[in-house]
Amino acid sequence: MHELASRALFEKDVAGLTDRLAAQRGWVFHNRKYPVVDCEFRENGRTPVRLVLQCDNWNEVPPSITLLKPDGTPLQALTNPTGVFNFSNHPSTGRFFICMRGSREYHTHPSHISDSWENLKSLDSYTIGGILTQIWRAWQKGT
Amino acid sequence: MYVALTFNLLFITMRPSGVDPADTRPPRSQTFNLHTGDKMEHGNKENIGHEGGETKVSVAVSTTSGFFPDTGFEQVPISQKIKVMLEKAKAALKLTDTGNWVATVDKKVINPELSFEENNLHGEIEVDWGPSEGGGGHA
Repeated sequence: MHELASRALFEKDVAGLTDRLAAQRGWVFHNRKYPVVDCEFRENGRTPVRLVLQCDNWNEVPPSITLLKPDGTPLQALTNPTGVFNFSNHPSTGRFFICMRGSREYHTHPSHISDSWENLKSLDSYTIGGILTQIWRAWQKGT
Repeated sequence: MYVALTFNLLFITMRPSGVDPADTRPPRSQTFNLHTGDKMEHGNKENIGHEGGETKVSVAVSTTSGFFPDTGFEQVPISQKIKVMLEKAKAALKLTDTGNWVATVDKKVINPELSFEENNLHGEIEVDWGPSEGGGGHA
């Protein structure tokens, strides 16, 4: 997708990721400038996690999502994570990854290659905010 | 007409009891229950909009596509089903596929098929609404 179109779609999605929403959810945005959304989830009693969504060529392809600790170093583990958080090495990136529809690592994994992003990208649940929300809900199920 | 004029003059000259003339704070709005004549309080977070005998709550719906209303809160009857407000938010924010979305208040899941009162919600309420945990996993 042409970068201007990608940027416009990104800006439209990011417009809803406001400080008011962040305060309500316990999210901390470190960056919301194209093509990156860098968001940390914080809640008492849970291991904080920081996600960097690389949204180049949004939304022709889903975002590539990196799992970090709040200090920006790679996240190594979570307590009682759901299957969305995969702490094995992705065959392409060699890193831990978000194994969930809406992440580039999911749709490019050999196990899910037939689960096409094309079927999802126009849905409200798969905006940048929708993808973050889905991961956030999964994170809330762990500790 | 004479009765109406008299009535209006009565309201203009009335001063709520217990008001200190030295108190320079702006007066709180005052309405009266027409059935009992009791003064009714407004602007109180815990007892919002008790007009005509029906308790109201102040509600905002938050999503990653925006808030409804976009600023502030909407006053709705406490007996109203929560899904009515969600449907308004869906239309205003131009959402389409919300079938698997979850509504929470203070991180607790609520049932939109029930009213605010039945969900034990009062006062000022922010309903967080968005998709549930993502599918996939187990690569």
